[in-house]
Amino acid sequence: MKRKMLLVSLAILLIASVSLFANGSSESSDTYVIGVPQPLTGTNAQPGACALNAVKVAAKQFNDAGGILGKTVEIISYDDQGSPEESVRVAQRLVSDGVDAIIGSCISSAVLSAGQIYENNQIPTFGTGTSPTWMAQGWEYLFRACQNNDFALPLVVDKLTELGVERVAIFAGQDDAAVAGVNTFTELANQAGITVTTTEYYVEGNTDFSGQVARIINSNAQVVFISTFGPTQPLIARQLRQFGFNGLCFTKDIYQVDALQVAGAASNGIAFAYPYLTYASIDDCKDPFIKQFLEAYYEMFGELPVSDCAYRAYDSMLVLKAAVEAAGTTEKTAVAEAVNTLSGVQTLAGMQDFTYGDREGLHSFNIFVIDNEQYITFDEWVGSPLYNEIVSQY
Amino acid sequence: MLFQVIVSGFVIGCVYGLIALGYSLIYKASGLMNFAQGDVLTLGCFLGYTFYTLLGLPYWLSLIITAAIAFFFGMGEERFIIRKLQNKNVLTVYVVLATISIQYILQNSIQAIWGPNMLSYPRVFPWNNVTIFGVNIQTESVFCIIMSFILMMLLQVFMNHTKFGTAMRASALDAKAAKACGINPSFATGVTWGIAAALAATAGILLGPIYGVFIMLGQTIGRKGFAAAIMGGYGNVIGAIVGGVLLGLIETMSAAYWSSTYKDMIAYGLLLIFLYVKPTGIFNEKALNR
Amino acid sequence: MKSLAKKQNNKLITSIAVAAILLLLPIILSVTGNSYSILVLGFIIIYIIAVSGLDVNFGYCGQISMGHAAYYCIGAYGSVMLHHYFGIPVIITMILASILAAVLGAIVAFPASKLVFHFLSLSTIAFAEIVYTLVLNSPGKITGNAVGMFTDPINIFGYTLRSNTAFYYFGLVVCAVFLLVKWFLVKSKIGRAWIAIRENEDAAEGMGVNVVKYKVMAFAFSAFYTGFAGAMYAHLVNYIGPDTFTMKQSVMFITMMLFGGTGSILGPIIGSMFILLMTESLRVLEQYQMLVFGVILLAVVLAFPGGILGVVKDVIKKIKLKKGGVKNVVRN
Repeated sequence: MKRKMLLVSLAILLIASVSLFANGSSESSDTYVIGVPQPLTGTNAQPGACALNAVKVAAKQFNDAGGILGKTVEIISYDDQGSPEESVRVAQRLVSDGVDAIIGSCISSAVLSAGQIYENNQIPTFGTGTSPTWMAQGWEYLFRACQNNDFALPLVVDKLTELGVERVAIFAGQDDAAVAGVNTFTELANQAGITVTTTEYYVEGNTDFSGQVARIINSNAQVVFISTFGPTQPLIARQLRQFGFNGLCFTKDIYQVDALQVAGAASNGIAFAYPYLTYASIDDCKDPFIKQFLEAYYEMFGELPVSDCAYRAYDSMLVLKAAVEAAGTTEKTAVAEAVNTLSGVQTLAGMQDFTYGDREGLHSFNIFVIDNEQYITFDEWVGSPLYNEIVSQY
Repeated sequence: MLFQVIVSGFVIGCVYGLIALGYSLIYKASGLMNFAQGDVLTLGCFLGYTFYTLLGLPYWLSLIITAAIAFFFGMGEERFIIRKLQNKNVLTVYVVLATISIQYILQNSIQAIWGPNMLSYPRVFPWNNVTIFGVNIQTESVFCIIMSFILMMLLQVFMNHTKFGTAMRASALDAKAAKACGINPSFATGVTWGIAAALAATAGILLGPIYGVFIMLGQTIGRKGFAAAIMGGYGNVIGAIVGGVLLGLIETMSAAYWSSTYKDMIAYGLLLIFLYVKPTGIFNEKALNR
Repeated sequence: MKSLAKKQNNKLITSIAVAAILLLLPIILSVTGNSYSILVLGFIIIYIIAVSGLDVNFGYCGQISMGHAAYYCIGAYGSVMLHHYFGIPVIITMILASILAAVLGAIVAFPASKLVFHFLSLSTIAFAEIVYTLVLNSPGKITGNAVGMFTDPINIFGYTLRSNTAFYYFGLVVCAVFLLVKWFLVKSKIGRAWIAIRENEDAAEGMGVNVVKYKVMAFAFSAFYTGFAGAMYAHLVNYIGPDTFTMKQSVMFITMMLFGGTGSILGPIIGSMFILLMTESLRVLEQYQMLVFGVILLAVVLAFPGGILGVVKDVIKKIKLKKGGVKNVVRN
């Protein structure tokens, strides 16, 4: 009997999925549909979930204020699991769902595999990753309203040169963004006359990096450049300090607030170039615009976004809205063309300017550093005891 | 430096060992592979976080409660899923598929319950580091090593010198004969699965303060645990720990003094070599024909 | 006699109907403007080929492999790299890459042929992990490492399969060929040797079957199928990255095979269709997709430990019995 029931329910499921196939694009004139492909499970669930939440926050704000060009914003989101294969099917499905624009994904291999589909269907897409690789494919409909690591890393290398650092070691993950970070950094360091003493990789899922740390310390490096993402950041910070490395560390992009909480004092002396910070409480935030966003986010979800991918997705939404309004229509090609004319769009990352012609909105960044388990800007940090202690080594 | 690398190798090696111990026990009792073991480790880590950090219980108490919950989880898994399938006399591979689906469920329900964020344990001991031979070692790491060895000893004593342990071994060897001697083999098998799960969960709560708490914590560890189990001799209790520690040491040493890029390849390469050349492992466990 | 002819007639009609539906499906779907479903059909075909290969190895020869993502990977990367570095036309590279997968499969299978279930599966897992690490850290970055590689669609005699619909028709033909080959193979002497080995290795050896040879052969065939599926995947998506070829993929193949039923032509077809349609229709659940998938999977394993095909066969048997019973009653 039970078996029969299960068989019947399976049959229903199959029919349901077939019926899914029958429903084609539902283009209705009074909604503006935004597709959000993000990794919602697995290793990168946290950034994906934060990005999706932020899109929801923005959509609510837009709809409360009358929508985009009077149209109600609607969100369709799917879990691309950060996998290139899933991502292709998700992309094609979003296309079939008749979305007007795409915000995502945070994972660059997912963007790389789906990009061509969005391009062929002429859907304005905002990637929410920081890797330079996918913007280098020349896709006309793909934009970015967050950091391109290739733009920020020169700042890091300049700072190292300014401090008189001569030897840097690299610790890197093996995803696309991390490897791209290593390549760019190595090239810049070579140009600046800084020696890269060793480059150590780890495989996703590992938790013990003592071997890598030992090699880094034995290579006699003064600074460590950490090119990783997610839960590995605090692990490597802790293990570096545990093994007695007291120098400055630079991460390829933000060192998130949850990493700061996990690693605690081991995070002191970690720096990075980035447009914004994540916060453990709203009161820590000094920027009024970001504070507003955090309050709205907190109101909707009862917690603060731990991952900065929330900021990236929210900014993408703001730019998208500005583009639609500038175009005066929700027609996709017109919106994509309008993005390239935008400048002075107020976002969490500051003013975004797309008139450089590279389809990127952000070109200037700050350097932040962690001291006393608090984020401060590098300029503020100069002269503090930890600064003097570290920099006197160089 | 060398000493610190060795300690780190020991820590991760002990965890491999605890996982491998679970594999060996399950293999002896049911002749099966359990793919969910690594995710039970993650579950243990999250449960420990809940009791220790959220509810503020003492660490030792959280450890015991977590292990107890995992024990019943393991028993339930055996009673309601594994044995049901085995009673139907299905191909072994379907039982393995069941453990794979348990893995899916565990991993995703952990995310559904605790959310995708990375969490952290506060310090367990009032002092951060212990100094051994002039080298600073994280206290929790030392604790992890000591606990693993204590657990292994306890298990060894339990299996070989208690009535119940003998009953467990007997029913693993020959269920019918054991039944004839008045042993309840199905209960003994259930307890074995419970112990395996409790070991994994304990490993999780030991790792929490060292590595932090996140969903994918147990994935790779669970897979490498297989390599440890094979190296020691699949099904051998002492072999599991020895294999684990050896694997941990070889891995970290080769990463430190040869190449970190191919660190994972060394673990799996060793597994292949042992399988092809000496499948009975270091301790010559003859468990091949089941 | 008459009923036999009728039966054959019925069979013919059914197969014509199935063929017609399969051929017209994209047209029906494209009328509704749904290129997504055609893409999913393409993926189903890829999975049917890959899983059929796995089934040759496990369902017929009794050798488990939990690392078939390795051959999928070798097929995909092999084809893309041969095309990229040597400019060989895509369809030829696909065949070459599958041959490469088969050769590597044979090499792995040779020492593994003496290993029993658990140990064999562990050795295949280890091999898959090694392949994955090598693709991620190739010497000289020839695989593009973490960044992956872009490639071109399939090109047959100057005609490029750009659209998903074109790929679907190509896949349909290829799939039919692969399934036919599998059918002939398992009916042949080789297939009988495999089944003998599966049922009892010692007895097979006693009857003069060269166990090692046939086991290696099964592995090689299996790797060829899965390798070709990998190559098809690469040239459908036109981008490959290492993340596709992890343990998760191997587990997906196994799940599909076991879900459908082993040791048959139909099993892998049913399994691939069911699992892929299920994951796709569960997509609306967002982050709970995989959780629900796991629960359904466990429920199915508990209720039908033998795959869907086993149940369907049981049901058909029952219906036939009933029919036969009724006839008998009438006659008497």
